[in-house]
Amino acid sequence: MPRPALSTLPIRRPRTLVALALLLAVAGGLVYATRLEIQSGRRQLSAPDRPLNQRAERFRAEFGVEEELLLCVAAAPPAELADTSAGAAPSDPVTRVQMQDVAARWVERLRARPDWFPKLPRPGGIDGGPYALLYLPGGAFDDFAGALDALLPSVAELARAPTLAHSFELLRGALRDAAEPADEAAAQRAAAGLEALTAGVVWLRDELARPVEAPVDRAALADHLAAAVPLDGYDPRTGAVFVGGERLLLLPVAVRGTAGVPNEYGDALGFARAALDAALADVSAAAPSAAPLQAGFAGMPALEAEEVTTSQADFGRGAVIALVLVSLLFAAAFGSWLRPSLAAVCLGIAVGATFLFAWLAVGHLNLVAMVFAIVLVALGVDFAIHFATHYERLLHAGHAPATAIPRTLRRVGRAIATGGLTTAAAFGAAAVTEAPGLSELGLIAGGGLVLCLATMLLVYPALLLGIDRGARRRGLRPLAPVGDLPRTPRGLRLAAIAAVPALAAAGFVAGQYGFDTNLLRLQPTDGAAAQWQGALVELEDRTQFAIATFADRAALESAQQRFEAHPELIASTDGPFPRDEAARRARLLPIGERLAALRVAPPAASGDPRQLRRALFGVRAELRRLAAADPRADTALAPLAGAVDALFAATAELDGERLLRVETELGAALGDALGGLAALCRPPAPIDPQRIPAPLRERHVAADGTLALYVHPAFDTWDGPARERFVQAALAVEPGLFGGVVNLDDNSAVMVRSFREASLIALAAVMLLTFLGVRCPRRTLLALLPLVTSLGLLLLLMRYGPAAVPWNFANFFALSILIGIGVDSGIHLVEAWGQGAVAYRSARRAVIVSMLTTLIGFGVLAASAHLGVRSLGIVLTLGSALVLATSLTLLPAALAIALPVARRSGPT
Amino acid sequence: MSTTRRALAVFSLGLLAAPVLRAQPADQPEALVVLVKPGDPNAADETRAEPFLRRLREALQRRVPAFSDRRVTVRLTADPEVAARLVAAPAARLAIVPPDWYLARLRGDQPRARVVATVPRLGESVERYALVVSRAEGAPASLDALRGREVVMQGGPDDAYLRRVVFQDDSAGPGLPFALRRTTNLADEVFAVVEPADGESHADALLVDTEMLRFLQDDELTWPQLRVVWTSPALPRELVVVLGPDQGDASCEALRNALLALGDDEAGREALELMRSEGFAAPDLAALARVAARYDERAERERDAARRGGERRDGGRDG
Repeated sequence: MPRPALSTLPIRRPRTLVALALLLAVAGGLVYATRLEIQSGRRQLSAPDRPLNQRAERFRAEFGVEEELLLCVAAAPPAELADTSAGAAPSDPVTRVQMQDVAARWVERLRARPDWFPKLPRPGGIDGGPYALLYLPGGAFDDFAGALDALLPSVAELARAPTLAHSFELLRGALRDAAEPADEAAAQRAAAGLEALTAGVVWLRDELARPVEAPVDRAALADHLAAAVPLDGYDPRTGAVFVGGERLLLLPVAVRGTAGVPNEYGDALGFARAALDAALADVSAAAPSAAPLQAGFAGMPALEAEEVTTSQADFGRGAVIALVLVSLLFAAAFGSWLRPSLAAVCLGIAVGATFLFAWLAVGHLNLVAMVFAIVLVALGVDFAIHFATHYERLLHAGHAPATAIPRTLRRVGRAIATGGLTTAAAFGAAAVTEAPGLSELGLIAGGGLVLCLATMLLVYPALLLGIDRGARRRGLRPLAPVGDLPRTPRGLRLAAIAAVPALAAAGFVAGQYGFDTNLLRLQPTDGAAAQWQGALVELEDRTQFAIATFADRAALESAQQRFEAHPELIASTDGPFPRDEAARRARLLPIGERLAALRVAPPAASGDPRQLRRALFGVRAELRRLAAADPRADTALAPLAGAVDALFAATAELDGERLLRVETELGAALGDALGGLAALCRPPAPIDPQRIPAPLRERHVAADGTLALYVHPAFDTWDGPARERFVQAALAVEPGLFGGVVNLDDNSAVMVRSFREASLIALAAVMLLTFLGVRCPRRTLLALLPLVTSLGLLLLLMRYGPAAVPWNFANFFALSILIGIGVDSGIHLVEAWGQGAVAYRSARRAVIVSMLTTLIGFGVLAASAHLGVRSLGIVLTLGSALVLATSLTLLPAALAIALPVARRSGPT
Repeated sequence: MSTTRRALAVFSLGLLAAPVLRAQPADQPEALVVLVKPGDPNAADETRAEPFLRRLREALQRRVPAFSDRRVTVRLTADPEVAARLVAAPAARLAIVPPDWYLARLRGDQPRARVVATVPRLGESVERYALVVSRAEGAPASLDALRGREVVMQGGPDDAYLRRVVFQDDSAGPGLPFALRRTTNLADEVFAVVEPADGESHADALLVDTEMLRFLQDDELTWPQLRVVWTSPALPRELVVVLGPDQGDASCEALRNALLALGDDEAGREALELMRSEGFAAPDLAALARVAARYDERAERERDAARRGGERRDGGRDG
């Protein structure tokens, strides 16, 4: 007894097939929900065995480096900051203080989530350690050293008699000698000093009012007085610094994502954004008359989160719209809602089964491989359309579903299988490339296509059998009447044969082969992170860098000097040691020696409240004199005057013992402060890397003492050619450079090379499999004609068309999809050509419906906000339209010439 | 003279004149304005007063027609001798001086000075001096009660003016009715009066001008413990005098008008604000004349008394 044909399996075992398929789908769904790892980081897209990537991983492990989120705060929007043509003025001192306050308040709020933000500045501010002064930014160092110099005589005088009365006498003298600030910077320093002084006076009033035996809170006073010397451009609370001519405040903060979710940094960024909005609101409430500040995030985590959020939204919206429109088209084409619904069910089964396959074959899904679902939907629905078209025709001819299904499988099954397998092979070809992102996509998409093919050829017919068994008598939508094979108008035929191949050839010769590796050009058009990153690119892009490691300081500084000898290449270098250490030590040493020589006199035998009151009275008089002489001084001094008045009033009944206790503690605090300052001004030499300020140590010094040097390019290296130029030149200076821009360049090159290799392998595989499927060289060439010509035309239009589009990391896999679509159409039409006019018309109709669904689905993506998704949509829409056009014009013309016998064939 | 010689002569003259003509813009004549504030510690350092001096200079340069072709320089001094030298300088054109200084030094011919305006402050066009004492029990309650006791003053007019004009005490001898002690630290003196300490000496009263009195009265913590026991009659305020050769009626009138309109200029307005003045005003020359007559009459009487005292001593020695 002959074995039953595979074509009858759907009618012999429909329930078994459906049950098995549902089981696979459910298993796949469970695997997706519980076991399938989602690798949402970009690092997983890079080849792990590349030497540069291995070195970068070792660096991350040794130095504990995390991804950094950059907080950006400015008085103007990022678009204005990025416009450097007008030579904008720096922010005024008051605004800069507000910007620093926003950063400090934001950091405080981030402390609620140490899992996302593990390396925030400690609550008391950055501990500079023994080398704190050596590491102050330039302007801040000058401010501090200048302030120490200026205050030393007063401090020495105070140390001689450290009583409160003496302190206020010195203050009175300072007020008497006070002059109007010469400029904004001086005014800001004076304002900061007054604010700190006022806080100190308020503290004193509170301390003197406490019981005699109450301890004195010296720490609070130290905090107030520390703010007396504002360090221009540097905030010790957070370490935030000003760049771009003091117009933009930057604060890098380490951030960890949530592993295993598609948007790794989405939750952390959402929390950071809410914290930032609250900080802005706080600062605005404190200064309602000030112009509102602008703030946002830059850096790779922000860009990635924004990109994923936007692309997910685009895909989601596109999927819904496409699903609705495709369903409408399907329903209009076949006169039934059930056909598209069943096709959607089968696609869902295929996607679920593919999750299972992905888990078994790879174990995870990376960012690129996740798009396999789009591939399955785009190509898998074509299988259903071709099957349904022929099936409908047989039903109309009077066949029962149980006979129409096997006949359909025999008639078009081979064509569908050939098209599906060649497409699977086109994707599978990428599995042999070096880039993990592309190879895993190829493997999963290829396997998924095979599963989808099996589902459409076995399960879809079983489901159709189930619904059509009782629907036969309802009557189905009639197809076009049978007649002669379609005639192509002669003129159109000649034009197509002459012009189209020529244009396609021109496209292959001079078309778009350029690959844009600039990740910024894939970002959403209105994305905040992209805008702030754009501003950084114009001002000072510290997110672009390369790293070199060294065993000792001498080697590091030698490399640093070599880099700094190329200002056309390197904008700046960041190392663990201050560049002008010798000059700073020379400036600080005499100050330190003078401080070390000071001795704080012992406290008096008893406190003298009257002396204090006399001194306070004198200070009051000076403040009132200054206020009376100048209304502006009146405003500036009002808080201090109020605090002094309150202190004066509070000392009316002051206990001498309490005064003595406070003065004793302050004398001790002064002694400690002088000793501490003296030590800071004479830091130990040489610098011990393990004792440098924590933020620098964590970034530049490994546990084993290895030192890291960061170099920042002098020009925009987001663009591929510029980045390549930078990497070549920088490696010539320091061959050991890696990380950042260097790795990005290497991985981009690998990705582009893999893309090109995969494309060529795919084309070769498609040609071979097509030949094996149609078993005729001439018919093979004809079947490949739409694919080849549409590809050539696509390359031509992508380069010279109205909207020239380069290949990029978002749209490159469109080529594999187009290969699948193109060969599929050609195979069906060529196969149908030999079966007569009715079969050909039916196949042509299926191709039209299939291509229209593809155009709808990808056309929606072409309107996305995400530039990468938009370019993908444009390429796919253009390519699909070209495949459709060449399938309906060039191919029939060529078929008429190459296979004229088929034209006179009647229905079979 | 031949044509050639004439030409050479003209050419030579031109050569001689050229440096002069070229030099004129760089050697613009100076108009020196002097602010005299004897004994005022705030006037001791011109650097601290630079914002005020700069504004006054800009305003005078712009608004005074007589200074349009001159480079205005403004000087401030608390030193009487320095002030005397400055007002006698050839470039001196304007001075703001206290009335005591004017009466003592500027009524002769060296230098010649003419009063064109006065400087009201705090809304007052006249000056009044006051004696301020503690409200505590036992403190002096009148000028008479202060006779022979100690009064302290910061800055202010010289002793002669105080004696002859402010206190107008005809019954007293050459000295003031009390012991006047000058201080540069009035705040400490006020504190000592308000919160006297056992065993610590302090002044019995404070002699203050209108501005200082207002300053004390604005102090809500201190003023409730003080009171005024005597006030002088109305006296002239600071005088603006024209110096230099051009003191004709027309010139002085023009200068006065310019000074009176100084508030129309932004720099002038700011300078007046720093002076705590609403603007320059026309002087009450009649009142000034009466004060000058009183000053001179008392001066003559003091000289006579000194002469008689000298004759008695000589007679005693002879006899």
